[in-house]
Amino acid sequence: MGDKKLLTVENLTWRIEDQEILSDVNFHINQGDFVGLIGPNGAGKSSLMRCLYRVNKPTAGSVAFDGQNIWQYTAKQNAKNIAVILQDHTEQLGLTVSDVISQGLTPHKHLLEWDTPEDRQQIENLIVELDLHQLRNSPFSLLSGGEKQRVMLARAMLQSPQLLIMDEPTNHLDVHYQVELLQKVKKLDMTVLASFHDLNLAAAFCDAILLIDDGKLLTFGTPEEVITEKNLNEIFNTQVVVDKHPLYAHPRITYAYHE
Amino acid sequence: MKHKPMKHLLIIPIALSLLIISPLLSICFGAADISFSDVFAIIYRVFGGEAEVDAIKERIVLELRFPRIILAFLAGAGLSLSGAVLQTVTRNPLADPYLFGISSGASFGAVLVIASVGAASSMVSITGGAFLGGALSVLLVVSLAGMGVQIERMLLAGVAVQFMFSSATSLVLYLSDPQAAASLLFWILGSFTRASWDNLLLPFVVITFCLVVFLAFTRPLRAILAGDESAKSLGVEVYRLRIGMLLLSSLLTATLVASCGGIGFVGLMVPHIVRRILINQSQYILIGSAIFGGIFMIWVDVLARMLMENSELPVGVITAAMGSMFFLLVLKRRTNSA
Repeated sequence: MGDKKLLTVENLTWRIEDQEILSDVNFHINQGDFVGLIGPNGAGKSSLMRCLYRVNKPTAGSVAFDGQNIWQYTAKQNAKNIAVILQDHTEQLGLTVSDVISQGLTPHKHLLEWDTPEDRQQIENLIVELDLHQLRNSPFSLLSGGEKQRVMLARAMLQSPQLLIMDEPTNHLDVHYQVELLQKVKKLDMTVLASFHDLNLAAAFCDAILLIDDGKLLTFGTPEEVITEKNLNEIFNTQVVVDKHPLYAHPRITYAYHE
Repeated sequence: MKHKPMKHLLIIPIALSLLIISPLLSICFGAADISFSDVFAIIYRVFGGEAEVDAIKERIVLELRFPRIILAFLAGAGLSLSGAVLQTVTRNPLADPYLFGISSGASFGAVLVIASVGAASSMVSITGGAFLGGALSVLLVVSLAGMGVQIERMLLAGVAVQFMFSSATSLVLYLSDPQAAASLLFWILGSFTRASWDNLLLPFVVITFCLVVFLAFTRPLRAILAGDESAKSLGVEVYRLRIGMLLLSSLLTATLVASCGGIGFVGLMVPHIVRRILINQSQYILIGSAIFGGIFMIWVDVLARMLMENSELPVGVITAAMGSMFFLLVLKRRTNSA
């Protein structure tokens, strides 16, 4: 875990018309950390992330990347700093897997600047690394959810950002692909902020976790500090038992439901 | 669904030979009987060679058919480009300058200029009127459908705008004298009969300019296919790019409407087919659409000259007949896969 503050969020408030979606959120992400974002439906997870990659402009407060407000960077510079993997994807109008991966070069190129042989080699390496060589020339729209997420991860890696933001990256994936995707991301040694529905995944993969509810940041700390019976019972309005994972050191959540 | 990239190597020689052969071959078709060897002799003479050529045939080839074929090529290339860019920035595979109401807006603008200024109106003023009409219809469609891209809403908004401008054009036609109305109508349906060397320059300049701009924006245009939010995260200024590209598309369409009327569905069909041929070569889709669109239109114009004896059909009628069938086919495939 690094000590350098990569992303700093200060007094962030975001309103649509009269409704306050995010209120006075403060935290920072250190370089190299894998940070999870959890909270019930409608807590403001996606809205918070959109404030970090410049789709939502804060009503008050600021988001700074490497000490500078993100709205002071150019759109391209921002895209070099931060890459985003969303949970839903368009059909990409017939683009193939390698076309979609090559979108990752967009912020790095001027108008009329074509792919170099090095770029093509880099795309090829990513295709191999993420096990996509069988699918290279397939239309993106025909891939399964897990394959699409792998393509988007390859695109994000080509974009070579310092911070990777993922909005519920494991949605629509079965258990095997959920774990595989997160392990691949973990291996990148990149600074990551990812939102999760599955609290056990968050507990297993994150160095630190942000818990938000109703647009407010409730706690920010290690999985052991955040994933507690008290927090989960209160915020998620469900009965849970939290103990230690039988194989590893991180907390394990068991939902106390029956019939 | 695997495709070998090998076969794309064949595309370039095929495209090049079609590009050279089509104009030369298509010159031979028409009311006057002109053979392939006549065409060669005439071209030979143009470049200073000595050859026996019928003076009338020479005039027909050089002053009527050549400019006509070049105009047909430019129209096909420009409309296909416009369609390809519209489909990209709206992420709507059914977008087309005609279906979006750009053509009818441009027709209305042009007809209004011609009807009020008369036959003396210059090419530039007709194009100006057409551009204002086309740009107005784009802005109407975008404001009706919103900046969020929803395929159905955009199509419906396009159809509504198209009806609106068509009825306005009909009104202008109804109010103008019968002779003017007949010639206006023929032109609205799309025709290359007015082609002459003098009025090729403007479409050529506009198409070249737009092609260069579109090619320069190949990368952001590809990024926009990922969705607005995703494209923003790639550093693309999505709304600005979309409005700019929509306006350029309407400039292209308007210029072509001003010189050869409303020719529909080419912009829908050609990029679709080119996208299927150029799998994994997305950077060539724009230039490929322009080349194949141009070649396609040359042959549609041959059909227009040949289908009926002693008279010619408006090209727009032929493209609309082919295009509407194509549209239904695409729509059916989409509903089947949904």
